[in-house]
Amino acid sequence: MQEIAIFGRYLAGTSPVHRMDPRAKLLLSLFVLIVIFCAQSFWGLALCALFVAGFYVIARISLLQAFKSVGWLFFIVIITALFNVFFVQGGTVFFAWGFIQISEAGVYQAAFMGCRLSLLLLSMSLLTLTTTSLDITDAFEYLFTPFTRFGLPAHELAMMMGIALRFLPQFALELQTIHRAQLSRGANFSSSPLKGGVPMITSLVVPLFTSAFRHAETLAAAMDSRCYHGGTGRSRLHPLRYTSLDRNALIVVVAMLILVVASNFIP
Amino acid sequence: MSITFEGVSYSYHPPAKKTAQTAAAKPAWGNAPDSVWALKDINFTLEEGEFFGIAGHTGSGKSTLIQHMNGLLQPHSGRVLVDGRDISDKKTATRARAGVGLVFQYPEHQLFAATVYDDVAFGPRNLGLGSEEVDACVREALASVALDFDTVHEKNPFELSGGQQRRVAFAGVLAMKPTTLILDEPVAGLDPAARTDFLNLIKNLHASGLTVVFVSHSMNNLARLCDRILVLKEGEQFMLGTPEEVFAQEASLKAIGLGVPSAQRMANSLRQAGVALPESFYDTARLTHELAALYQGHHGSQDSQDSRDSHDSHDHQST
Ligand SMILES: Nc1ncnc2c1ncn2[C@@H]1O[C@H](COP(=O)(O)OP(=O)(O)OP(=O)(O)O)[C@@H](O)[C@H]1O
Ligand SMILES: [Mg+2]
Repeated sequence: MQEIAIFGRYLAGTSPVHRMDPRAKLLLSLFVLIVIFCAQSFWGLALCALFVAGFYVIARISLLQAFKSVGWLFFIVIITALFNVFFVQGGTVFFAWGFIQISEAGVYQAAFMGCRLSLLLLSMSLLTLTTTSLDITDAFEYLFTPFTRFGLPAHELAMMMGIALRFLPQFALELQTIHRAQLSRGANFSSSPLKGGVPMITSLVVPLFTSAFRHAETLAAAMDSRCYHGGTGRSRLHPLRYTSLDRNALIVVVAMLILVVASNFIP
Repeated sequence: MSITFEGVSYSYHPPAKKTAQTAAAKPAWGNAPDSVWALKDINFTLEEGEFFGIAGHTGSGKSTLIQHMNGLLQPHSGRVLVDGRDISDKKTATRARAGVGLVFQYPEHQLFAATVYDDVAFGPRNLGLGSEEVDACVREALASVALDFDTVHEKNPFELSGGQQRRVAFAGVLAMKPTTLILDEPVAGLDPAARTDFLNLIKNLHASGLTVVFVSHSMNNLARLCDRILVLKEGEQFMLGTPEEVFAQEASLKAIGLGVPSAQRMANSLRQAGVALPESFYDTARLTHELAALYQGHHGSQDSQDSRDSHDSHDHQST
């Protein structure tokens, strides 16, 4: 509970990746995800890894920071890999003990899925590492605006998302304070959940919820008093514009797609 | 119990590489958001039975410091000793947690139970007391914060007023019968009447034998209540001494964004205006007496020049 790592916390910077249009960044990261899914062999994954590493170099973010930002999400990678090791069967059997059996296909699959998931996580976290949450929600709003015609409240959705993102670290911090306060009142969160588990958990959750409501009310009042009335007729201080940076990024990602698809035909 | 800080330093961003400790642009006061140390080389001993004040500008590390006193935070260098034993030892930490009652900033935000009774009983129950003992603790704690047991104990804490909620939260800590009470800005956000009530309450608790650590922005409260005051500046120990010693240095306090108590400030301005005030530190009562004595003295001697001075001083006092 000392340090609460948050997936892809924004790292300020002035690199070309930072300066890209957030819409382009959002779309291209989705595109990169698809490209990574296209890779069917370790050759393809190696290519993807090369490209993703290249993106991090351009963004001037060290790999160490990158891995740190993904943090505990690697848990998912490990779990998936373990599942594959035990449940995918085929080829030579390396190890057998009762019903547990580890075979060649399982290990191969586990390694493949592990690498693929890590790459997916790393490329997603590049987006959040180089883009403020405000910019991401802005991008969402722009991209969804065409659908307002069909009744999709794009602005409101983006606003809600922005607020949620904004308050995540705040609540993490408050949870930490509440946790410490209850610890000072002798709470023992490590004891078995059967022994007084429910009051322990409510002693954290209830204050967190009341604080969420308190924040929501204050925020609503603050928005009201600034005459906020939703998205209609709102102008922008910083309209988003595509630049040559975004075009170059698009070229790179398309090249990545072509190379990865080509690599699938390497025997 | 006595709590000793020996060269305690703490960082929220532990320097993985020690070279990261470059001198960033120094803020006028408080801590730069990216400064490495939230606390740096703190040395003092909290004596038993003392009323200890901690002052410092926002972000100077006060809240961080007090969380070391019951082992919530462990120093990155240096040691915290409780009765001579290192708090990094689990047993000592548990003992410290039972003996030290820590009331956080805005403690009413940590209320959670459905009734006042259950909330106050949370601590004693965690200590593993039987239901009769718990009951006794709750009654005593509610009484010591001047809440009527019969009217409040079945109420939902969220139905109470802010000041009452804070009393309940206070009682929740007192119910654990701590010997040391640590209060982080206990009167922040209260109205003046509630503030006076609370300060009196704290004074009574101290008089009943508790060691009190009091974190505050208000120099008036610190001067009035404390035996000793520790002033923090950007996580470093800036001053430590009796209110007399600390508030004699108005200029250096001003430089880090703190003031001095109003009585002391007035005494200082009077001295600059030429009134002969012999002592270095004044609280309201002492200053009033001194000025009254001066005024009467001068009326006796009919010294025109000096009497003008003392008239001046009365003008000051009425403003
Ligand atoms: N949970 C945390 N994570 C990271 N940094 C923190 C955390 N809590 C405090 N800090 C930093 O540590 C420094 C000292 O903070 P602290 O809360 O101890 O100050 P304070 O003196 O209590 O201030 P205030 O008067 O505003 O309560 C600040 O620079 C703050 O930004
Ligand atoms: Mg504080």
